[in-house]
Amino acid sequence: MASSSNLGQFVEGLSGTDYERYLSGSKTLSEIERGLAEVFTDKLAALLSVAEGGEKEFLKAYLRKYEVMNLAWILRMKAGRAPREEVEKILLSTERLGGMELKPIFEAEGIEALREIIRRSKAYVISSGVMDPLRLEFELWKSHYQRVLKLALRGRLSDSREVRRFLGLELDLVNLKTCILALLRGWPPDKIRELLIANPAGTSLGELQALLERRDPQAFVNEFGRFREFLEKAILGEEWAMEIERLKIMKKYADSERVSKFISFFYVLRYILGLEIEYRNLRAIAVAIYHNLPPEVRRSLLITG
Amino acid sequence: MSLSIRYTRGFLLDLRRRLFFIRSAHDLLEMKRDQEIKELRPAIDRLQELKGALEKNVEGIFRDLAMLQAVYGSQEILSASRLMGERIEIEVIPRSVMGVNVPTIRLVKSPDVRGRYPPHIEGLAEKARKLLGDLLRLAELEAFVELVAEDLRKTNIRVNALEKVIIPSYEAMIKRISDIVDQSALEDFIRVKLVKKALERRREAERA
Repeated sequence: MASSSNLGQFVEGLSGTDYERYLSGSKTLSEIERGLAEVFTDKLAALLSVAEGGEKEFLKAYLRKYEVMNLAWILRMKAGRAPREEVEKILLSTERLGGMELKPIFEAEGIEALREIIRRSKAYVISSGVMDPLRLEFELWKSHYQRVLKLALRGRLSDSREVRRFLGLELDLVNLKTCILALLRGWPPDKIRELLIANPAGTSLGELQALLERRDPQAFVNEFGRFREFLEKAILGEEWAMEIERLKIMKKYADSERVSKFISFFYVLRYILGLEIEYRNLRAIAVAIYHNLPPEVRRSLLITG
Repeated sequence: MSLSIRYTRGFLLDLRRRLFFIRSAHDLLEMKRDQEIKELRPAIDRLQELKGALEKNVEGIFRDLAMLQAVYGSQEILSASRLMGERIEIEVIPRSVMGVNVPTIRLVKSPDVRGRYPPHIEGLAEKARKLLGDLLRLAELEAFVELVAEDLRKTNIRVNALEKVIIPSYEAMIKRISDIVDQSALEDFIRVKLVKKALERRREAERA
């Protein structure tokens, strides 16, 4: 797929797969990205439809991370007064994942109205005074992870220990990324601290705060040697590569974790991660073809291992 | 050049005065041309240097943008691009170089990207912001080269026209008028001599 010479060849390569239904006739990059996102959401929706009880509740909450992505994009677009059609075009259909209804969100006039809709939905806890889209975005992430961790810690899931460790790792990587990138950009530690998410299943906020006070990004690399490659990408100025490394670490962890039972909820999380990696890999290839990046660069964008 | 030619000494003097003025203008224009060439040469070198560096820089930024878009998806980039509400403010001040008005661009206010973008995009936004200053410098230099080169072209045409057409035609005209005026003066002189001789002969005849 990564060696396709144009987007047409890329779409052709996916014929006969689940993607054909949404991709046939797609010519532009935005159409292809949309098609890939639809297949991804379809697969997640199918997974959700077969889940039951505590697992379903947890899954619904966990999948809200894609809704947070949607909301973050909408917040930014609303802040920039983008027309509704433009906003609608880029979103994932998270309604199918048990998320909020998107229509009133499109119709909200400005950030304040949008913030009120989110608050009224009770899906997220956000402060009332915040108007900055970036701050709101971080508040949404914070609220999402707090809710998911709360559900995981409640222990209604089978194998909640593995799930907690998985979430702890995911959140550690999110916090570390925020710390190192914001430090490199010269953000004051106080401001960075506000963006961090408490992680009862991973590195404590106190530990991160102590490192932040040193105002040295290298301190994070030294302290978190197991994430060296991930953190060093930031120091090298390759912010984009951090996301690839993040997913590689997650995948490596998910693949290496030995679960004692044949049937475990951890496998569901592993499956979701696998779906996300497939979606991101295909999207990366499509964008790389669009930008005419050489095949070896395209391959470096893939999350493999 | 339309002149009603009169073959008189007065007109000849006037033409000579005009030729002197034209020659001075020619010398001045030649000096201006040399000075413009002097200004232009280093400016072109600087322009090429800046363009090369800028092209490399832009290439790097586009590569980073493509990588970010590939990894995070178009939605992330499109939505982040909407976050910048501030506008760049510049001041264009005209400056005279050898009589040519060239613009000097001053960056009054550059948008501050710190804390305005998600941390993984801020690096690219900062690179793009820095590029704006270089782009303005390039625009200023390009305008300078373009305007001075255009004036140099015009000056060159004027110098050549004076050197090859106007001055030679004035010189030819002066020579022709001068020849005719001299010829006419000689004729007058001879005529006066003949009249004088005729008068002398008449006076001698009357005395005799």
